[in-house]
Amino acid sequence: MHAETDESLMKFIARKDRAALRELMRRHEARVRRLTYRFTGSDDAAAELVQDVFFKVYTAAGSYSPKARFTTWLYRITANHCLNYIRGSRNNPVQQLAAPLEAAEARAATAATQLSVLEKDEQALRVRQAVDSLPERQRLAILLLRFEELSYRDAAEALSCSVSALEALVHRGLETLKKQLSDMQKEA
Amino acid sequence: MACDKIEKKLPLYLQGSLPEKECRSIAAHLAGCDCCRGRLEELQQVWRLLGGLAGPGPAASSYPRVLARIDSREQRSGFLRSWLEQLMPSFAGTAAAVMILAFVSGALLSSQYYPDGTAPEQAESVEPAYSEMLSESGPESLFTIYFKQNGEENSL
Repeated sequence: MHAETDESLMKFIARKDRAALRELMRRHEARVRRLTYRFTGSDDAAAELVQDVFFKVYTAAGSYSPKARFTTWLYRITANHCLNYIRGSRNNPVQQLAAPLEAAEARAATAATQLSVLEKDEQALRVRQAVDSLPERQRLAILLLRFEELSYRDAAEALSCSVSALEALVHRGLETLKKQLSDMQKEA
Repeated sequence: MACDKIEKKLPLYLQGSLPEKECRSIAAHLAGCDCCRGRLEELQQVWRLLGGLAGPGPAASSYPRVLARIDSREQRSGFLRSWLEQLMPSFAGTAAAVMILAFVSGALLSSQYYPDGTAPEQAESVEPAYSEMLSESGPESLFTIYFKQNGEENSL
């Protein structure tokens, strides 16, 4: 099982092989968790999204075409679930507010009182708020490039858009971040 | 390469994700363009600050919970399948039942309305003027029709 490629594991999963799903999750759960956590800022939301994504991988395995690289397909499913999460949270203001503050509050509860640690947390919170202020597709585009290090082509596939549309998303997102983080840039 | 094209490539240039030839071309442009160099510096700062965005902490694998969802789904579809099998022992029986149901529903619906829009006799005795209003008057307000019929000319 460890020697099988992702695409080959998907064939097993299409035949309802749970051991194959387990192996696939062993390889890729971390990347899905990374993206969903940075997108939502919430451990709980990320945990739920991770389950949603791999449940979808299992149920949709029959429709997976090996022409597409598995990780691109996985990122596309993850991106779609992240977008659905945001749309769902618009109908639930409590969920929307809780997510960006959760991480900062958790850190505040456990952080030492040293000034440098507090400053770091404050900076992290401001970066979190700046990222949260981005429209969801711009947010995803930047996260995919910055943290998942996808190429423009793979990121465009994950977001189901053209490369030029992705470039526009990234450009607009970075302009917004520049404005939001301008005072932090000056301090730096 | 024009400055606007260079700007779009800068994030990938920063990550070293561009082909070598393209990287060299951009580096050459940057050497001679203050504007693009300034943009690159701004982007470097934003990119660096973004690095402060916290990642997830350690977490247990979600595999058991995903399995639980799969089991639940398969159990539900198993219940549904066995319920249907009890009602309709064979596919042919199921198909026949669906067709009969569709035919009976269609027959019931069509019997309530005549093709020319008039209502059956039992409906006329409840509201004798209603079907005549609809067939003769066209899209007038029913309030207007009612008042006209009762001798009042002014409509609401």
